[in-house]
Amino acid sequence: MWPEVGHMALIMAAWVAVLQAVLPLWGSLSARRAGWQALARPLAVLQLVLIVLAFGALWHAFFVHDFSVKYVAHHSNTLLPTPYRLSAIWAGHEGSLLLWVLMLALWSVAVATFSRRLPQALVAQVLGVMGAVSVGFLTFILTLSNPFARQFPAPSEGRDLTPLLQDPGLVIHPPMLYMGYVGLSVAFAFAMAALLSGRLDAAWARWARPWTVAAWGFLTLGIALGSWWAYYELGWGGWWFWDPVENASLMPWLVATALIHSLMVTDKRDQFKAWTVLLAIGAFSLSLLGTFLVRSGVLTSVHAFATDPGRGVFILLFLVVVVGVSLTLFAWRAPQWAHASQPVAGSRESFLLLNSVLLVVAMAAVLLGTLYPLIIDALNLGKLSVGPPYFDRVFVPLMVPLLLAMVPGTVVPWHVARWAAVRSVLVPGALALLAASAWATWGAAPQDAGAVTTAGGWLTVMGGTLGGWIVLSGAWQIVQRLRLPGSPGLAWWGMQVAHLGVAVLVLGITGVKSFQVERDVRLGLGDSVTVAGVRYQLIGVDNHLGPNYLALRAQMKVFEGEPGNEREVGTLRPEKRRYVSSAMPMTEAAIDRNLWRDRYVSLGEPLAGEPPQWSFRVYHKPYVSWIWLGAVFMVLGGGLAALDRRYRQAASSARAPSAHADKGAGVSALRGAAPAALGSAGVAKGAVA
Amino acid sequence: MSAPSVNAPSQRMPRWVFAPLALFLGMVAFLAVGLTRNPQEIPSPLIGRPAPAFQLPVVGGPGVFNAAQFKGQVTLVNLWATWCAGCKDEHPILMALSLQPGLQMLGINYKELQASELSGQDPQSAEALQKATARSQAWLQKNGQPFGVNLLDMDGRVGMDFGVYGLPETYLVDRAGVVRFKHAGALTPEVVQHQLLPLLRSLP
Repeated sequence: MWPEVGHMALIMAAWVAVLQAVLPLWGSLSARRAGWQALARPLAVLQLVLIVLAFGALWHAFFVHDFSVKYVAHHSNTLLPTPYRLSAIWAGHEGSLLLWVLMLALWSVAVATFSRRLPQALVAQVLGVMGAVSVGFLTFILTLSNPFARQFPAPSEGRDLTPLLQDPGLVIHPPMLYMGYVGLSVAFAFAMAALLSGRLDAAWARWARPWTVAAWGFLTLGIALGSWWAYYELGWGGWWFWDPVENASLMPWLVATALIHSLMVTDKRDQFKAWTVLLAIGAFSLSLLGTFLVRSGVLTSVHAFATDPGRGVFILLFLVVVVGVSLTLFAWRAPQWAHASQPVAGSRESFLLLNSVLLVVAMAAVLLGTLYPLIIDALNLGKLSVGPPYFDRVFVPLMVPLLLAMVPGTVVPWHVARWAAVRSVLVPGALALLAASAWATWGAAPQDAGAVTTAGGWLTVMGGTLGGWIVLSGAWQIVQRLRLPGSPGLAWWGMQVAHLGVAVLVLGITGVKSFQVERDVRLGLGDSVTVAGVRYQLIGVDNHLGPNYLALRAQMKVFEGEPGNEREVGTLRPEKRRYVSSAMPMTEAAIDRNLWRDRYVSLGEPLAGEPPQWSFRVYHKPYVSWIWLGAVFMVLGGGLAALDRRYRQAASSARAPSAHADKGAGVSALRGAAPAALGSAGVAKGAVA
Repeated sequence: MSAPSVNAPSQRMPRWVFAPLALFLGMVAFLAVGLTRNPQEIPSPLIGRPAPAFQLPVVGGPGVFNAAQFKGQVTLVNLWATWCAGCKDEHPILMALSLQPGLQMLGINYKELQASELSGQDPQSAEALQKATARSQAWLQKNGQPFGVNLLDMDGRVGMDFGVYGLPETYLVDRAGVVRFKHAGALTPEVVQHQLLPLLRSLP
């Protein structure tokens, strides 16, 4: 009975969403129906209650093994441990979408709750737009992706959750990622409200900022968790594969990063307005595009979801409606906002414009690489795939100037160029260059014969300098700031912490790319392999029985020190699992982590022959944890910034956009920041030169 | 409103405001075409070439099958295994195809025992062969036997020669021993109706 209750709740939620999309928006646009605006909040709450009920009903079905529900039978099994039984709800297409609308309802209620100080019309419009997005997704679920569909007769046993997903990392990765994706709908709804009402000022930007930063933080966390999971679960030792689905999450992240910076300019300087709105539309559109790419099966990916052409058509139409309407509205409104003066070269605005342009160009490069196989196929030019070499070659050169601009961008003042400020951080820059050179020279692990290694080179110096400069000048700025009276505010601290996170990430990537050592070996019992001065000895291989899998488990002793003077430092137990229900083999790498390096061993295939041998892949991965540590700092920084009190000040006290001097700067009214940024990177470079 | 310009928005629209919309619609066009394509459909280099030469033991029967036996009749080669979920999905289709006159049905049971089950044991050993044979036959007994001949490819070498990268996979080999068609993944009624049967009819 519960599945039917859940289904009914979803149908009701869809109708509530329709009301939420129509009534408050109507009320905000028509003076006679102004009272309807007040319906936005209660409708959002009601929708959440209904969706939670549906979600709970599906959870119940998983919990009690109701295999008459098709979705449960496909993604669960009586042997499946309880935590995975509950996370299996987002293992497939239907449940993922249900999680999507649940997140959307949660964000809507959050907006409804924390927006007491916002003008009623704005709240009505934001919640109305979010309701409209919800209508689209609920319709999709009810028509083409019903998770409550029954099958009779019910099978006595379920097919089980894909073993790839039976992992703690995967329990929380999708919800975090979806919180980010869906959170961007808030920024989108704010942008739509601005387009509908024509009201876009500094106060608007200030209200939109914490929501955008919060969504960005969740997205960062979601991507980092996915990367962390891929690192230890896929057994290839990599942490980013430029897979279409990874790219689908990276693209909105890049645009959201540009958006949080652009929003700052709109908030503080009342500039970049059209550009900010375009970024807000872009970030959410890319979330939807990601959904389309993952769900429609137009691209091949390791994240293979069962595909259905009808679903692809629906999402594409939805994408066309949402993005088409918003960009048409944008074309109608934007000329009105494109009056602002061009930023003064060397001012903070100019650096932030450079930031926006580089991030958007990087997104375009990723988008092109992701869609290129599809474009070539559509033009009947053949089938091909675009691999990591393309992305590395295009992405890195775009990130270098971005990182280079990070430090000066935080020290120069608004509106004027002050090179003295940049000069003051040149000393940390020189120190970073020295340290990075030393690192590139002496940072490598002891070499050993037969190892594949990439020695440090000028890329190490570059990455080390960029990361080091951000860390050192951040520390320098903090010291300087603490000498001044007054508190700098949480947003400032958030910026420092998040930028530190970027630096840690860059140092981690540089370190592991420069100094990693990898060996592929075949070992028999008692054999050893030495990697980066550490000896790994195979002690035994045995069969091990898990709750729902059989595993082949190797035992490797790890020894440090010179031969003759060795000491045992631990045991690693890599596994190769075979899950009972699907017979799918899974690699479970064994990793000994610390802050400075990971020792990573994955067990490959047993090799035929006598005596028995197994193939192993052994890695020494220095600084690899820094990649995720950096992401954690970014998330913390985002959290701090989102909590800044300034964003929660009353609407009425919104400082009148300061009568800044640039009004009379004599720049033609229609040549604004947005067209300059849209035009080409060349314009932006000119602005900073 | 703080904006110094209070122009009515519709006065004169600069062209750049349509750029995002135009770019987006261009992308949608490609996505729409992409929806009609199947990215999994990768043309096999084998098509138009002779089927790889091989010799494999016949399940439950004496002797071996030699690829030379392709000659003289049209053969449907299906690579499958009892552990493959897609194979079970497409099985009814194979059963129906087995009724097609003039079509030899050849099953190749690919890596029936997986590496983790063998744990170092030689896949060609008598014990492994016996286990795989028993499992293969039991599965076909339960689900139906569409194959005129069913072979065991224990070490997967023949599958590799065919260029298999996921089960099930199906090939059509003509009278001259030339590969004419490949389908990766489970056969669907659409593939059979629109691709396989028309091709079969066109073959001499």
